[in-house]
Amino acid sequence: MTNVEFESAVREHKDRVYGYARSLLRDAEDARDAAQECLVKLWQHRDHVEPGTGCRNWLLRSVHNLCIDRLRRRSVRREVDPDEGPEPADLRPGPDRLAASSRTADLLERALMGLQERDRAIVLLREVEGLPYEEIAGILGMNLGTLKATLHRARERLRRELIRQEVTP
Amino acid sequence: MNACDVGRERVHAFFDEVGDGPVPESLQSHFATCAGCRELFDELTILRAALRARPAPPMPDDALEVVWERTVRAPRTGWLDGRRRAAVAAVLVTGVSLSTLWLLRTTSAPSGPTPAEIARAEAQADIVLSYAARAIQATRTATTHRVVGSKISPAVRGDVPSDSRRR
Repeated sequence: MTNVEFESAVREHKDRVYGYARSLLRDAEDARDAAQECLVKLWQHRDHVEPGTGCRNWLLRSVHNLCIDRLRRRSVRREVDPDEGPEPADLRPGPDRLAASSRTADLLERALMGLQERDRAIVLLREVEGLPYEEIAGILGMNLGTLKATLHRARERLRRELIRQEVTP
Repeated sequence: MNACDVGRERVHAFFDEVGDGPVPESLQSHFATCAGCRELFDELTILRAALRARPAPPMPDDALEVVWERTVRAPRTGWLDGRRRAAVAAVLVTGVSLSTLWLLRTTSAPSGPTPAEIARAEAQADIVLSYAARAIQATRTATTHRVVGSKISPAVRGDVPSDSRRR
């Protein structure tokens, strides 16, 4: 990947990477750091990453792993300092949220945040990013059967949550 | 209304594999008899559409600036960056190693016989020459005896029998 291709890839995927990190970490500052780290890693590995779909999948895999590392560190900090408590969901109406301030989007966001981290990752990677099952299974270290069963449960849970909020008919 | 177990599996399988394409005949005929599965299908269709339409929050501009500063705008660490420096170092180390090996081989290889080998060869040559000299001398003596001996009378040679000499 040349410097020009790197710049093009960053401009194309930066929001995807940041959005994924934000959805998984539920913290804008943490997401910002993870996205930066991920894009810098792409620069360091640019000789081994092909532009295009391969680059997108590489970035999602990389940012997912960086987010998981951060979530683990958080849980370790919580064990050391129990008073720290769980991170609150970042549901403040930021500029992006205000720009897309539809009630459905807001409720969907809340429903997504209610899922466990792994389930949320599966829904985002499959339903939002459209990654192939094999790729998601590789990223998450799951077999295909478990992956699909988890996705089915996550879909049902989101559906129930949205019905409860009277979004879907 | 709840979806039936069989129908639920088939609806999820549709979203797993196709999702956006036409609904198969078999599933449509099932919906005609199972309102719960029809409802599930409609709700999952709306859910998928909502997820795909979900706005991606833009990465803040200042965060992107940091990325540029740490990548394409990062100052070079010299005339070679890390990987190229490593490659050049590897080539240099290999070159020096091969040169050293070549020098060791050429200096340790014998350029001529050692003094001890020369002395041994001279001694062997002396022995061969002495054998040759003795052989030549023996041949000469034998030949002389044969030529000269045929021209000397037996009496002079002392070959006369003792009884005839007494007579």
